[in-house]
Amino acid sequence: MTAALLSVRGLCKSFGAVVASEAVTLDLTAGECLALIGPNGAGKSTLLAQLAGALAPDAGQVLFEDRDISRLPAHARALAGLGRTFQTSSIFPEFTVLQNVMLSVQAQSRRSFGLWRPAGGDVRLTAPARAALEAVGLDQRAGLPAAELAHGEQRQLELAMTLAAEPRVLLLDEPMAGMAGADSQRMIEVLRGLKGRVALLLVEHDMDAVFALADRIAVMSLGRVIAEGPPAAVRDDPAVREAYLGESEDQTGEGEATDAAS
Amino acid sequence: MTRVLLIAAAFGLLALSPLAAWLFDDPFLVTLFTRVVILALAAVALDLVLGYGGLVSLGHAAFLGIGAYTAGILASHAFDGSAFMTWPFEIGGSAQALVTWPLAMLTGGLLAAVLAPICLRTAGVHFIMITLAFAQMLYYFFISLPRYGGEDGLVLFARAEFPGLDLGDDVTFFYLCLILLGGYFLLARRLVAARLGMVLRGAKQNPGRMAALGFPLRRYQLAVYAISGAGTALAGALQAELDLFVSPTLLSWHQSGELVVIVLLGGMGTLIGPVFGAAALVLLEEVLGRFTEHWMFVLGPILVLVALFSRRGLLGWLEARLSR
Ligand SMILES: Nc1ncnc2c1ncn2[C@@H]1O[C@H](COP(=O)(O)OP(=O)(O)O)[C@@H](O)[C@H]1O
Ligand SMILES: [Mg+2]
Repeated sequence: MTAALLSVRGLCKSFGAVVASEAVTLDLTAGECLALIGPNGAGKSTLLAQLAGALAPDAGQVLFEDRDISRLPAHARALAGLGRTFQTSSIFPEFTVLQNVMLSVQAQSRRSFGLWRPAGGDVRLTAPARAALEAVGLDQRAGLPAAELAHGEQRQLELAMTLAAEPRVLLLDEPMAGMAGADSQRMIEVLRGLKGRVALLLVEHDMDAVFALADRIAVMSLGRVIAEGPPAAVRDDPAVREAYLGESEDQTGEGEATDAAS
Repeated sequence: MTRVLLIAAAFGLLALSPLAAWLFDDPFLVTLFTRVVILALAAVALDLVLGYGGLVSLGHAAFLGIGAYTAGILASHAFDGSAFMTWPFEIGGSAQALVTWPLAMLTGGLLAAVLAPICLRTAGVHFIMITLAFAQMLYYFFISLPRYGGEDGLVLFARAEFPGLDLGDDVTFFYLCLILLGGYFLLARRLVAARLGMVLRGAKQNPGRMAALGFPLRRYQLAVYAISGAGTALAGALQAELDLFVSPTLLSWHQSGELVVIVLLGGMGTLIGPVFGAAALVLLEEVLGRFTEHWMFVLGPILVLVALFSRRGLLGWLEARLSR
């Protein structure tokens, strides 16, 4: 059939009167980066939650390698190779930075019934975890409680946790949100390094990052995908300019300023 | 480091406590300290799910009770030579501790494993309610069994037999209980730092993230719940041996509440805290109980003070003092 690694077919989700996903259909091929943009409330996070299995769709299907995973629980999708980061950092505040990432390695190892040997001294967990921390530039912070990380560092930690699982599809919900310039540059570099190996579905408001990384762009508005195509074509699409980019291009500088301030 | 010192201090003091009975020439003190050890065992087991798993079980009396009844019922059949069941095969009673205690742990673990899939569908207040409800059901179940004493409880005629030991001797029985507490404590302490413990603690902090990482949480929580149930049931069996009596009040919600109070008072999520908590509660009850029937009146304010001034109960307070 298609060469799509992850295929979304007619996904629908409503919260009462709010239609968060309206017949969303998207394909993600192996190794590509598809950026998903759209104004706040467009339904991007809700879509990612349904792909990851945290939220059940009202209708429609999600295919992963042509297999219908619509009914698989979140943990089974994660083990199948679907990684995810959250819009607001979702970490384990009482654990150290290293332990956070070790937990991700442990999940993939599928061996968690150990009752006797301390997990902390297990190199099968620590070695891959340290490698993932190094990849995102957080290795100096390994011993710190995760709660003590700065906001931007928590975003990096989240990415490290997801990377340590060696996913084949990565769902990223605004990974640069609230990051300072240098940190978000570093994040862009890390994500660029994944291109070709991992399929990325990148939800992001930072247009510099989107145009630096995306092979294709899909635009959502009010629960629907209103445009999809190569970056240049999407940028020039009149419907998109009206719904989103036109207004956003004027405000890009402003938006970044508020991001940096927050 | 202070933690290790406090663990050594707790077990050291308990090991020396029969000396107090000898010093004050009051053999009853041995029984009192045995009660501390047994409650500590149940509370350490509860701390696994409550302190490390964030699962507020208000039904742990069910495991205490099922353990006590398992040991008690087997002992009573052994005493009158009758069979516990005759169909499809015959099972008689037993007076052997090495049979009845492991069986008590087994029934406790199995009960937990049967209840957990239902309880773990809920969270928060609903989890509290459903564990409480199951314990109450078990309470009324045992009250409705006249063969095993019903509301009056079941009287045992002697402590179980143990190869090479005379458990009828209170000091021997005390030390055996202490060794069992030590063994379970060691297992629990290893568990919380091992892979299973990491899953348990991760699920407490951020269950959504755990699922997104790929953990089928419930099966791990079930495993720990069963380990906790087995430990509490062992405490129940020991309590039956200590009192030579199994009463349905072991299954009451007061008993469940008392275990939670011990964990909170001692310091939840510390394992050794509940040992201090058990000692504090039993001794307070004993000392205050001499002056007034309403000793709970005094316990209340003490609990409020501990909750106000220490996030980790008595243990947190001790650690803060010692590391100064
Ligand atoms: N759990 C929920 N309950 C009710 N409404 C929700 C819920 N989650 C999201 N929504 C609504 O669905 C719409 C899409 O939200 P979201 O997916 O977060 O948008 P985006 O990520 O594109 O900003 C919004 O109108 C939001 O208010
Ligand atoms: Mg969002």
